[in-house]
Amino acid sequence: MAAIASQIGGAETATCKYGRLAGRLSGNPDGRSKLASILKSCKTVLLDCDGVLWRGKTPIEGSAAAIQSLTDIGKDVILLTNNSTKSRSAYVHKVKEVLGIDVPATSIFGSAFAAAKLLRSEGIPSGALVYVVGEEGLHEELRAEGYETLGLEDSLSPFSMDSFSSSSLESLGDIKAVVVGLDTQASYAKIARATALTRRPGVRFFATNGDTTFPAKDTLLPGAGAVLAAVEAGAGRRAEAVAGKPSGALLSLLQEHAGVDPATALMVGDRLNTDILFGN
Amino acid sequence: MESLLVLSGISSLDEVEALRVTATGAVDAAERLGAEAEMPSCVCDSLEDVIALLES
Repeated sequence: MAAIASQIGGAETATCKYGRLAGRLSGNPDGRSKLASILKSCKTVLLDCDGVLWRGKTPIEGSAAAIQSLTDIGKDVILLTNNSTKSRSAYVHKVKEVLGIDVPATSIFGSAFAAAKLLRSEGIPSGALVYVVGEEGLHEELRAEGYETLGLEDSLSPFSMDSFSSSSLESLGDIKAVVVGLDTQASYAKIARATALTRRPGVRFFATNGDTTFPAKDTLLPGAGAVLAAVEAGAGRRAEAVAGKPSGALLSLLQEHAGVDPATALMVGDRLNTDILFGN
Repeated sequence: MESLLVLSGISSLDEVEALRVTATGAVDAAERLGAEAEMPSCVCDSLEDVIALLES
């Protein structure tokens, strides 16, 4: 693998830069020694999912065995994903389907679950109406937290600029917040409604995560951050808070719901600006 | 908290190209922010390295 990477300028550049600051494992006794020391002292291992455990529905070799090995030596293994398309219960099924192992829902923290908890901590009351640019998993977690959600139906709805007006949003009800996440069915209608709603006084604006790309099987696709950028550009304002990595809100959630102590935790991921920043 | 960066799933030149985009973009972003805070404690190719370490 290293031999392949060394032929590619970008990867080699990245590897060399990481190498100056980090212990790289391949052929590097210092790196192996450093990670061995970390693994020995840590109590909790936080594993990113997309790009670390799997790509799409294809498992990355060794990931299931790694989870089993870490569990066998007494580590608390927690799956920590910024992918908001699935609920915790859906991830339980995906882990079983892709990796063939059982992981309890309480050990899975997705940005959909985190977003639902973020709204609660930000004072959005139970029963409030929330407009969602996102998929079923995000709706499911928000409903589980006591919110009413709208937006799924706008994936396929026709849209006319001529007939759209801010007042037409009144028929949607008294929407208190807009939440934006990864949405492979994002449509102009959804983005337009989210944009118009976030321009209304008093409507709160949140995002599940800011990942600009999503690692598919053999390429990179637009991530939640790309969808968010469209809404933010149209709204003329940034999301007030982001639920997933690297936010402090997610760390608080892990401390509260899983008893994670940052001093004895190891974050494993494939992105510097989310996973590694969160870990640091 | 410690951090481990995984350069995983590389089995074809297409995927290496995807990694090149990811890795270069990430490093560029880190440099723009002057962000040593975004540098990992360790780097491995995949979680198989972790297994090998646990078994050694």
